[in-house]
Amino acid sequence: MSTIIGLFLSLFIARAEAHPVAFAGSYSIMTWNSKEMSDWMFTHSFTSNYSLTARYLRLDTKEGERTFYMPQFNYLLKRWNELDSQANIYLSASHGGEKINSSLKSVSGAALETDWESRKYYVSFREDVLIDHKNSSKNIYQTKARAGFAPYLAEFNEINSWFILQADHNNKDVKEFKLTPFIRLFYHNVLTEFGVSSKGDAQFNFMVHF
Amino acid sequence: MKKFLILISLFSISAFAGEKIDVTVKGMVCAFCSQGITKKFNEEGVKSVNVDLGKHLVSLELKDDQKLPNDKIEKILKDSGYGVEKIEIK
Repeated sequence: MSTIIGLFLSLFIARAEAHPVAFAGSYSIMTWNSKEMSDWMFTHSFTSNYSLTARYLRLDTKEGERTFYMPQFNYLLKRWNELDSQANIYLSASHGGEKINSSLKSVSGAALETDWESRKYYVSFREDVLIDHKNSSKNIYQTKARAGFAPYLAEFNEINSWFILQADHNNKDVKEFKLTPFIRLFYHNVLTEFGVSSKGDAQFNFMVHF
Repeated sequence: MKKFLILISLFSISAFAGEKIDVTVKGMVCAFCSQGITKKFNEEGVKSVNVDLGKHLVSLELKDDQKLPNDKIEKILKDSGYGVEKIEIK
């Protein structure tokens, strides 16, 4: 119940789709879910360069379950628009709270994300850090790399399919290193991903923007 | 007389038909991410907007008497996150 209330509140404090910043004036909801993690983000892109996210993150770590409520600022540092491809560098910064019993402890976060995609291929890299101001041994460092390809070239009004392989490392995760193959399907503004990791855990991701 | 009426009606159709514009867009590789393009042009009140990812093309049909200057088209595409290669009025 407290999780639902926290999520509800975080929506009103202030993010993302495949990209942390979408088109100007847009709203997006993104959620990543597995047995060990639940990550919800609600984002408003003010322009095509920056956005604000309300984020709820729950992680099962070696030290037990940890829950974060984080308003997050996302900035498109650089974009390369070419005729057949697009590449981006994004920066994110957040400052919020980690729920400890019934109180919130101050935490800060930062992330660097970069990607390149064409209609056929896609690669991305993201580095995340969550900083515990009082105990640096509790800092969380997460690295995520993805590569994917589309088995066919879908048009704008068709269902798009992608096969993606994700490698991620989290210093505090019960399972530190994971490889997860995903199938991604999207149609218009709704995107879903389903994968099962090398450790046997299912993951479901969902994004919509409007 | 009949031929004259046909000619008049053909002239009327072409005179009041909305302008058609083809925009070649840079970076438009993902249908999910390009949704903003159709949304933004629809908000501008165009008659129709079609996206062809393969040809990198956004095709616009304007309403009768509607005008959409090139700088406005470029701004809409920039706000959607894309660059403009070429704008052609057909």
